[in-house]
Amino acid sequence: MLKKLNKYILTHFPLLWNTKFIPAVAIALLLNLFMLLLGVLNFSGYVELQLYTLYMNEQTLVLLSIIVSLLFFIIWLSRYARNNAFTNFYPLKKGYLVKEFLLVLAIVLLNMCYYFSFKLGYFISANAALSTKEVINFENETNLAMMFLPHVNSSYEKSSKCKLEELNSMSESNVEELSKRQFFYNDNGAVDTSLTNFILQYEDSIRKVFKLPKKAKVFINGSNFFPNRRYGDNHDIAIVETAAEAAIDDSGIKNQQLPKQIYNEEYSYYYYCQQYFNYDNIENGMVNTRDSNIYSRQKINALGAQILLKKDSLALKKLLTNFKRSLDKYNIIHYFDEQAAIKLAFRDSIWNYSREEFIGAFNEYISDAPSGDYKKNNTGYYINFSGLNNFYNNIWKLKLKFWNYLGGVLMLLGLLYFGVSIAFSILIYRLTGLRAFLVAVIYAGIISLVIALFLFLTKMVDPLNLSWSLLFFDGFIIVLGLLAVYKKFIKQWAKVLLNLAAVAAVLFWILLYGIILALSESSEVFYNDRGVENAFSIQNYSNINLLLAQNDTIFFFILLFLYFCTVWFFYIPLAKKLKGNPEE
Amino acid sequence: MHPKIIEIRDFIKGKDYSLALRRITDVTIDTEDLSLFKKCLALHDLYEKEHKQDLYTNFAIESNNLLNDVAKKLPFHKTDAQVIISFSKLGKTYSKGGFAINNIDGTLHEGEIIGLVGENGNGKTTLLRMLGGSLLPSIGNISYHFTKAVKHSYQLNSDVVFVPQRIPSWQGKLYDNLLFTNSFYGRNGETNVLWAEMMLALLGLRPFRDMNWSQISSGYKTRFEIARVLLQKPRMLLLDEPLANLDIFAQQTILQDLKYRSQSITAPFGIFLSSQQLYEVEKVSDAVIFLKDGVPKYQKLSDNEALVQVQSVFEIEGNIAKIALDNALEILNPTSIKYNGGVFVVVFDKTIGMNELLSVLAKSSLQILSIRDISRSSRRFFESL
Repeated sequence: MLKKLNKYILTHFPLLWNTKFIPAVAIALLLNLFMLLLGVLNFSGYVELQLYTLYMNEQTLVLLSIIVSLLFFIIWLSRYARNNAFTNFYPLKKGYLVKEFLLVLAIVLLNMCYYFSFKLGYFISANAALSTKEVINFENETNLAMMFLPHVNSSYEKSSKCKLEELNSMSESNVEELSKRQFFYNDNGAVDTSLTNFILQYEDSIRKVFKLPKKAKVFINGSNFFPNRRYGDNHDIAIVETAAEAAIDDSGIKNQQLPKQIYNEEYSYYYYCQQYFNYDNIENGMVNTRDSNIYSRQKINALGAQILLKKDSLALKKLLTNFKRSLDKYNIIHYFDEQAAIKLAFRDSIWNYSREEFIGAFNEYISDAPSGDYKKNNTGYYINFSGLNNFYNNIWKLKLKFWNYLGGVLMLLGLLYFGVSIAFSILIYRLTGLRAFLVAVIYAGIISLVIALFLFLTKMVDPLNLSWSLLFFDGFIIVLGLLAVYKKFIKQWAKVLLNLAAVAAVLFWILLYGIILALSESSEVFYNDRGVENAFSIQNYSNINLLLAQNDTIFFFILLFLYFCTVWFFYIPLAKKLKGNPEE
Repeated sequence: MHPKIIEIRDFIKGKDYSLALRRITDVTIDTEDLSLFKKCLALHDLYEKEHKQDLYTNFAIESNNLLNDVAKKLPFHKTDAQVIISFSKLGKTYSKGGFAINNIDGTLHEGEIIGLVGENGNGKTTLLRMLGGSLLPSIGNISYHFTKAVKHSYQLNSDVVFVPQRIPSWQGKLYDNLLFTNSFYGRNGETNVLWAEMMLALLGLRPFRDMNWSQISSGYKTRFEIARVLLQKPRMLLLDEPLANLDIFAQQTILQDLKYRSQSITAPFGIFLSSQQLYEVEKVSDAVIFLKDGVPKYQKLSDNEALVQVQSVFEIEGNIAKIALDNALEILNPTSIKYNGGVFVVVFDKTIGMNELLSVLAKSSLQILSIRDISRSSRRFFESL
């Protein structure tokens, strides 16, 4: 059966047979599936979500992926090398090279995805641990419950009170001015928090300006760019429609009016105005796409105030019991007595603890709590806050930014770039022969050593200088490779240099772009060790700076295109010409 | 009827079935008709079956039937053999070692074989590589008379096939390699399989089709390589020492079959053949270029009129002493008698022929094993006569 299939493919689709495309793809897919399953099985449950980063064995995984890829490549290439149309100068039909390139590229790309398959499996498994509804419920529970489990005294300060009244009294003309304002980073490259807070606090007003329904949600929309996103990243204000109301059971504490009386004490539950989970803090630049089912700080404030005003112990007990049950469910270590918390809340709505007492109690617990030993402190409770935070952050990243978490468009483009370069190297090796390719590999190693020695001797550590140096070496190899073919070096040497030049071309465009980007985004690189400004300088927020920073994906596409054109229209014809050229 | 068909019928009449089958296979290939290919392969099966019993009753009948079919399909047109390549004043000088070959001229037509002979290291392979376009000559001109060929290009290397002395190993199944080659010449599916089968049949390789390179002898490796290059329909074939690995019987059959194939009605080609097997080469070559220290000597073999014989040269082998041979041949007044590697090379005036020599030797009591007239053979170039 297999023999017949092999013969059929050979006599009907010789290129598929030659590249061993069908078995190679089948095996690569199976390996990817295996890695996916390995990833699924590698997620050990809720406890793992409490880790700072989701996957802790990244290095092992990378090593495993590389070993599997290398083994695959060695076996596949040895099979692929069995028959080579170029060796015997078989006449090639139009499009033959394109087809061969595409088949090789597909095999190469599939064989480079093991790491991502594992990661995907792991993320799918982790993502499936909680439904979005469960996460929203838990978040609402937590945010509301935290009001009655004091942990950061500043949240209970009078000055932190949500100014709902002020918001409601704002005129529409004032808010129109706000809508025209742009959202910037400050000089240190950090988000201008005052503006961020401003927008968050006045989102109802913004809603009015844009004439949006009440359920419409205002959020800040950002974007990434390569290699880091510190500078020049603009944000827009965008609008999304809301979904259904929150699923939390808040019966009995709804529709209550806020107290008119304003307390004079410094700390009070009434002043609590915080979302314990704030999605803005997940990661620098993460998009704030909080689901509207999640209570806003104003609503938490209002709901809490209603519980306190009505002394609704039943609602509070229900809230804290549900919260505790959720903590148990998600294996988040905690210790607290909900009855004690209720008593504390209703003893007096005005907080009797002094600022020092509160902070002392909190810190005392933290410093005295050895691993696994959770002592009762003055506030009467303990919750593994860092675990809770990580849990929340990790699960929302998986829910909302799954694709970005896997790597995003730039990862895909990077993978494509790398895959194309390997496919081209294989094609040029097929044209120039194994011997030239192997000699080129040896020389690439020697050149790497020379560069390393050069960097060591010059003590070059500055990334920009390093990039310039590498670009110089790279350009030198490319020029030498082209000269070798044009000036008719000894044929074998010309082949070797052409192989090297093809590899150098991979780095050339990336280095060129990297240097321009580095120049455009970091003010430090404008100065050398002596503080003298360099000749090239692209100012922050200049047109070039913004163009480069905002269109990183497009530029990467252009890089890929340039590299493709370089090899396809230059190196491949040269290799073919070299193949036909007689020896001198 | 085409002369080739008449010739094959004679082979069948003469009961030389093995040769008849090879020639039938060759002419069937010329028809490029797949239904005839199938019949021809069935004939091979029949031959193998009847060969075991040494009864060829059905084979003779089926052969004639197939020949009738082939004759209908075979284009009967005799055109003048086209020039494939011509070269003049060709030379190559190596800077290292100082070796050079100079002033080589020649013209190869379709269906012709030119033999290259000479001792080791005298430039045979260098000349072949220059003609094949893989080595740039230092001086001289080469003109390829193909319709599409461009000088020193991938295309040229597709039309001119060079088979080196040390054939690079084939990887994987031998049969698969032939099918793979076929696929580049527009032969897909059943067409591909039948062409490969025909070439295997032509070169007697059918029993080895499922083997790997390491499982066959050197001689069969050469045959498989020839099968592969024949599938490429070359315009010119450059064979570097192809006979080195073949047994004495195979040397002749392969060369004769190649000669026959090169005279194909539909796809004729020319052959340059370098070898140390001088007599075998001369049997099939139309001309021989002898190279010594890079200097050529030419021997045209196909045209007797053109040959100007200046002296008679004979090789005599036997269990004899030189003095006895000197005495025996004194009457014929030889120019020289030299002993060289087990044989005596005797040179006479051109008026002395084989009959005169045999007459004298018959009367002597010398124990002669063999006598060969090498007056028109390039063998004489090897001696300092």
